[in-house]
Amino acid sequence: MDETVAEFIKRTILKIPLNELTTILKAWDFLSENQLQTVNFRQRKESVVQHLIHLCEEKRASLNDAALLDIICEDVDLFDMKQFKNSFKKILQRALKNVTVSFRETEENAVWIRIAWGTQYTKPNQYKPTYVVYYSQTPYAFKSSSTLRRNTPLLGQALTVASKHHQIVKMDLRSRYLDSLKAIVFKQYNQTFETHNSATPLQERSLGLDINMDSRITHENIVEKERVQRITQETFGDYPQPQLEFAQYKLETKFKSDLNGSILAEREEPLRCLIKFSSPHLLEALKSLAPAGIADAPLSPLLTCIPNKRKNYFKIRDK
Amino acid sequence: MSVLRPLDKLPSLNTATILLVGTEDALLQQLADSMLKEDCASELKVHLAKSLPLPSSVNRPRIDLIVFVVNLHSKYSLQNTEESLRHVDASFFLGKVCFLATGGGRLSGHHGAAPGARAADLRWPRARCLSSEPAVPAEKL
Repeated sequence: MDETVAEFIKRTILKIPLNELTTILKAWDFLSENQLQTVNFRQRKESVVQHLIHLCEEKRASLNDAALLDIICEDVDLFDMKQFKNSFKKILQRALKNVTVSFRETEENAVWIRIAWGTQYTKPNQYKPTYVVYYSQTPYAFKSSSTLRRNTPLLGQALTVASKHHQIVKMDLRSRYLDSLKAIVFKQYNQTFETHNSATPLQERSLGLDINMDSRITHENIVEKERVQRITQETFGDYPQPQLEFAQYKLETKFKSDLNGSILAEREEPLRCLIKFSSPHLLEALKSLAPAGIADAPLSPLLTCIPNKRKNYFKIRDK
Repeated sequence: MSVLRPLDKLPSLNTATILLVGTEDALLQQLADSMLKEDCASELKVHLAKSLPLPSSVNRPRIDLIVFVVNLHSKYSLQNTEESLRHVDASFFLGKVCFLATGGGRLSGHHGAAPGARAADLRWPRARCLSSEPAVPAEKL
């Protein structure tokens, strides 16, 4: 075996943490079972590495084999599904004793988890389960809202520990459509599909959507229309918006009024107020506000920031 | 301040021009299409505008009728119309202006405050207050 290859393999193996070493070596599938069994993985790392290099020499590792090992190490998320499931289940069972946990793996590295909750003394309620979808290649999980609030911290803990992360943070993003949540969270919503229309200038394209180009009809405010179309397109893009049903704004602000001596303006404490926008397809509705003439363009950034900030539940306070 | 006057241009031969003013462009377009489908003694032209004053343009024909389209559910629509009225000469109101209210069909299910009281403000009495001059006296016609 070439000295450079040996050095390369040595440095690659040194970078692997000990607890992942056996997994990676098995995935590499270069050293045989018998060979691996001769290695004492509990000794000091340098000794382990020496032994492994010796074995690679015996088998005459080539540059290709070394490169393959490198690729396997680069796949940092060597996610062990079995270990995740066991760990997750164990944590819940240790805490609650009565809990039903089921898993289903789908493509895209997603694992669906169903949890029926009980307590130390009661059987799990199968009619009110919680569903969680965890995408193992990402630090994100999606949870259904049917969880009793007292179980939420435990669920968070189980997910965090089983997935080997440090903490879990709740995002202020909710929707009935998992695909839309995924599109927003993974920032995949802004794919513009190439169509043969994309070469035509904006004016022709957008006015072409009007019902006709009857020459007996004149649009007086064509400049303004174009401005609105342009701003709308800059803000929302050409692509279909992800589907959300609500946007909620919790305001805790002082009342501001032009009228002097207004009772509300004299209050020292901030007023609390909740504003909720709802729609079968909220983002498309917001996108159509200015072109429909219902609102001025540009819209408030509080409305347009929703996919970008990945939230649709806001708390607004005076600075 | 540019103001629309009914008689500041010569009429075109056998042509009538209607100006629709309102915030909801799609609705104006629909209304224009329906109008043009009707038989008309003269050649009919329709202009659509979001608000007044109109952008200055030399080629615009004389406007024979202004229709203000107001959405009863939208304060914005009402405000837009009120501000546009300032740019219409009082003499236009002698039969050359009309107001079209939309959204009435849904009022029965409407849970908010009835918008009717403010919409009624747009009627003739308010239009008459626009100009400090009295309405054109009969003998000048």
